[in-house]
Amino acid sequence: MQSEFALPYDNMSPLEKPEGALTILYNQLVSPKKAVQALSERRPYWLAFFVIVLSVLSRMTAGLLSPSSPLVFGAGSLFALLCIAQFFITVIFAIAAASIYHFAATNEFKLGDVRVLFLLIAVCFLPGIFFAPITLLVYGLPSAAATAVWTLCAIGLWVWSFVLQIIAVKNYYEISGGRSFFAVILPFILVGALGAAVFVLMFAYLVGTIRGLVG
Amino acid sequence: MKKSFFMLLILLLCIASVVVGIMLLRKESARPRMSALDRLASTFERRFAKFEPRRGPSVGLVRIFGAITFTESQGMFEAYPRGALRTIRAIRQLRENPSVKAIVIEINSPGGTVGSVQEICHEIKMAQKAGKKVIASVADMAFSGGYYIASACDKIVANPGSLTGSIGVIIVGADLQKLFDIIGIKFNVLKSGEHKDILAYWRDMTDEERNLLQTLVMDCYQQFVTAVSEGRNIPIEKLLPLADGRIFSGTQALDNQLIDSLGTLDDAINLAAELAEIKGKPSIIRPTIEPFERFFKFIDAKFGKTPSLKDMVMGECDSPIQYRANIGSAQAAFAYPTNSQQ
Repeated sequence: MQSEFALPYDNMSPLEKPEGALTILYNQLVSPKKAVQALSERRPYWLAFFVIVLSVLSRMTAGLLSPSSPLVFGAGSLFALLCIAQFFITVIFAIAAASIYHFAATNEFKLGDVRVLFLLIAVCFLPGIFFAPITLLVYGLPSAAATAVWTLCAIGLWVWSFVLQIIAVKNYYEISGGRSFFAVILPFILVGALGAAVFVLMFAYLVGTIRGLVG
Repeated sequence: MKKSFFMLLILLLCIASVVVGIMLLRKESARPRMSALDRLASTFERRFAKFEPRRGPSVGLVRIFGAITFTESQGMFEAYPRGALRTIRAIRQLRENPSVKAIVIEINSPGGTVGSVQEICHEIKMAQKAGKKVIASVADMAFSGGYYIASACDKIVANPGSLTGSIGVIIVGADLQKLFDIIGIKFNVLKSGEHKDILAYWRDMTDEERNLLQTLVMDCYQQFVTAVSEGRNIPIEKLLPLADGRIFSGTQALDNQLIDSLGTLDDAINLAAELAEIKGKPSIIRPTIEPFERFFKFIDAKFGKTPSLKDMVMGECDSPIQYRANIGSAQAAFAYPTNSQQ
């Protein structure tokens, strides 16, 4: 007998049931295309919050225990504060990135929803949860080896996260890989252009000052 | 099911790593660590220790370069940032440093506004009261306000070719009325008193205003002459013939007792050490640079300022009455000929 509060998929066979959160996260790591589909259909926003919190905790712990740790500046006592700040920075980054990716990826065939894109990007931070285990693995190694291994792993995790974002944008907006890549690097191009403009202005000012001193 | 279980294991592993990491972090925070940055800093400290020891009797060095006004230079990368408040803070910092026994003020200035010059002199007197010997070293020039400051010091050392003097006061006002008439600008001035727009650049000065300003100039001149007379122990009647705005070379200034000796900055530092009874080669302490203050002032100057019409027409808002020399002609007259000119 069917319960009054039964969910629509209670009567489905196990193969037809929607994937649970853990399966979605598993798919995000090994089969991101499936994860994108599941996330865009079910929209579990709490999962975005969970992934961001866990990856921030992991990244901050790793950052403070890493071979080039800023612990000497008293960062250890500010751990909670740094985590909160990092959480807000990550959320703001995800919102900003979602807006820019949406702007760059929207096309006449698929308009997309920027809120879903925010969810997809937030879940793309999932590889960040591995920062803490990697840091603990290299913790006992000699300093130079630890730095080398940790840096390589950190780069690997960032690239992984970056690739996941490209796959997410590609599959959600149904666009080409090239265009998806362009959409994901667009924020970096903008930041780079802004940085270059500031650098040129500062350099021009410095040259002017030196010429003033000499002349 | 398998996937979920596997993912759960991964998440638990990561959460456990974070917990262990936080525990390690607490342990590490308690342990003193030396970062690469610290090691670099300590290397620099050791390298430069021979040039600038931090302890022991020392001589403080303050530089007054350029026009002396309260308006500060705004460059972030300037080698010699200017501004009377900066100079005052620097002298005060050295006065409050117990290891500084004497202060050398290197002056290379055409003079400046009356108020700023007198405030710097006040700070020098405070340093003298605190038992510090203060020596002035004249670089290229110490004209007018620059000399006013030098005269407040215990001793003045100048190079034979340094230029100094120009004791006097000047007010410069412009009458741009004809120019404004040509370009069709008319000013509507509403004023509460007859002399509220004295020194206005949109009209000529009246005779009464001229007399008022001349009285003002002579009052400041009297203050200048009195200060130099007291600072240099020269009777006023002997000083007055020299205080007509003329400039002197170092040698001429020595002959007229306007300076104490001929010499370089090094000689001034040695003299300061000698007066402060510092044995051996004195170490030099410079007031600390304030990079953050400099940065924020730079930002403020570049992005936070809206120039007024007066700023645009008349330049920065400095006091019009100045202890300042017109150095353009002096520099030309005293410049050493270069090879191409010979």
